[in-house]
Amino acid sequence: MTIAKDIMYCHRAYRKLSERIRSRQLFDFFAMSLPFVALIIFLTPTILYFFNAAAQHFLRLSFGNSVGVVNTPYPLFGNLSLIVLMGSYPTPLYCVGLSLVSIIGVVVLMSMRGIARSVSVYVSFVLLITLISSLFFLFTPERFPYNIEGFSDLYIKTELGIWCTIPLILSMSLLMLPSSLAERMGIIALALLYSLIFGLARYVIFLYIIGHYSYVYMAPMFIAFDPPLDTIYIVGIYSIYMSIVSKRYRKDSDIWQCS
Amino acid sequence: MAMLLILLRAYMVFLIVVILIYILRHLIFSMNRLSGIQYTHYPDIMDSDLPSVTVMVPMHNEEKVARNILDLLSVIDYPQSLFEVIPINDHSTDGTVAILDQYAAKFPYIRPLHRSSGRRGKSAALNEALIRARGDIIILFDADYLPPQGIVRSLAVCFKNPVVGAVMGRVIPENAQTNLLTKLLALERSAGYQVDQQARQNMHLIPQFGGTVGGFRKDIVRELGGFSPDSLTEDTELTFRLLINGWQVLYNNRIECYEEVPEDWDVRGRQIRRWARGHCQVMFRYMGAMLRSAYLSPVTKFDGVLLLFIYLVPLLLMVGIADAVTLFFLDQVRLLDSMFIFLAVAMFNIFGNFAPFYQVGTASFLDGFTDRIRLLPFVLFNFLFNMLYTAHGSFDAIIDILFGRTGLWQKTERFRKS
Repeated sequence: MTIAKDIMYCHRAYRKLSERIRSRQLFDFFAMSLPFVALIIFLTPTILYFFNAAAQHFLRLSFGNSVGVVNTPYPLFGNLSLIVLMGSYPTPLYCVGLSLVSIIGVVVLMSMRGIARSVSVYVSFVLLITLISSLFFLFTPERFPYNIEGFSDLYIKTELGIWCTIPLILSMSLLMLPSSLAERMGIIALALLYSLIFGLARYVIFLYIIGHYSYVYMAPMFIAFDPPLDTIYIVGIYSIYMSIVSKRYRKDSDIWQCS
Repeated sequence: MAMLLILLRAYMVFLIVVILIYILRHLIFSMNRLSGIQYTHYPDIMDSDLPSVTVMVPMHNEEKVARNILDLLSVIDYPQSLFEVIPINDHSTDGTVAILDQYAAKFPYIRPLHRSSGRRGKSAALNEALIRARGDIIILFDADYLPPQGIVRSLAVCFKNPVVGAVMGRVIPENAQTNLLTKLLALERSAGYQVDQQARQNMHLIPQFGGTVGGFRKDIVRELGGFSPDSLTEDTELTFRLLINGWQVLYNNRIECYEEVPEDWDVRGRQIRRWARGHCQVMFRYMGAMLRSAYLSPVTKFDGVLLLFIYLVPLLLMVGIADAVTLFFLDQVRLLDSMFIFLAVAMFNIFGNFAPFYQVGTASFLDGFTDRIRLLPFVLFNFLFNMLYTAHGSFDAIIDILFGRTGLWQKTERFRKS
């Protein structure tokens, strides 16, 4: 019986990346993030043109020719294309009903135990925002500051912020990895592409719900389903890539060194 | 109205700055751990001149786990003449008492301390046991821990450095595969120890004594007046008391010990609420003294501020969300405000140690968790859950300080099957 090993791997307590990888981190960060940010700023009018044209196409299937697109200037990014559509206010009875459903929902969810707890807290949060929104429309509907165009403006500007942040956050997260620059830039491109497609789908769904079921759902959708959901897929893509990289380099003695 | 708007927007700017500071802090930690100079030489110390050691195991109704830890402590690799175990029965009403007496009869160096009167709680129990302890070094394990044979020697030898006041080892969940929660907690522990604690050790910042899988010098703690009986996180308190008085807290990444993490969301919720409450109590008590301490560098003090402040952040974020909702209805949402929620969710998804996703990813990469790492997106669903309980704990601490209320120690429920 032999107990000799060809390679002795470092214990996880002492494991660290080799010096070679550390030396290029700052360069990698700028090389990965800046081209994408520049591209987004440069291409925003074009991206938004297609973004809104596609949204208009899908929404016209339900709302007909009442769906329009307008352009509005926005510093740095050029023109923003926005969707215009006739929305409606909820009736007082609808607001009362929605308030009651929200309150009952929160009470039921907060009393739930077990695995559903973290999900129930999230759904309760959505219901709480819905409750606030329905009470707002019940008592001061005339003070609601948005129409569909205003919501479209808010949504598009938030998306722009997130599109510019994705390359920065992912570059920061990936800059420590030993994989090639091109591969990591591919991951950022994939996240951006996903964000464009998912952002469009969500945009259409949001506008469809607001157009059909009134402005009362604008607040919960924007606050609970817009930025929080963006983090999910960014982290999702990052985690899948990390899993792949982890498996690839687990036993690669070239990239590890013992501290 | 204009003034209110200014306040609401100013608060949002303040929160964004806080989030950015923590983003940078944890990025530096991740980079340091992955490719910086590692401070890991303590396991190389070999010495036959070992200090006397008392292992303390506080127990309150621990019949599910008591036998496991006592079995393991009975085969610890340490000279018997220098070693004793004090399992502390703290007002137990189950079979713990009988189990301890049974082991005491079998092993002379196991000397249980039965407490059935006086104040209940870990701090009070440790104070009483400190009076009886014969060892110069006190090593603590929670009752659900499974200490390996060489752990006492590894911890004790670190005290060969005369400036070290306390030593902390690494905690690893043994029930990580049980359910989604335990898998997520395993990711959290990995990020907290493999990256956070080790990076703070490397950078001469503040590695935290965690109150288990760790030890401290008995005389120092006695001189400092023992543990505050009303403290809910006596470990964090000891960390800051030692640092303020010029002692070092050492983290040793190689000293690993398995523990049981909560398998139930409500148990987990109560656990982080207690942590938050205790941590904020420590913040209120020791922030000033830490900033005035002559033994700490400005950089260490800055990290100390961030560390003490961390459990208050969820409460601030909660107010921030209310702020964002208000701004929404006032038509005052700007890019920064909508980005606040995005950044907050991305950065504060783990509230046990506040590791952002890239820190968890880095730790998993180092630990070789090639599959578990894919669960990272699920961690984000915990954002609100964690925020709710942590904010509740911080709020409790504020009420404690305002009205002089004291908290009751709550034991974390055990799940181990016999």
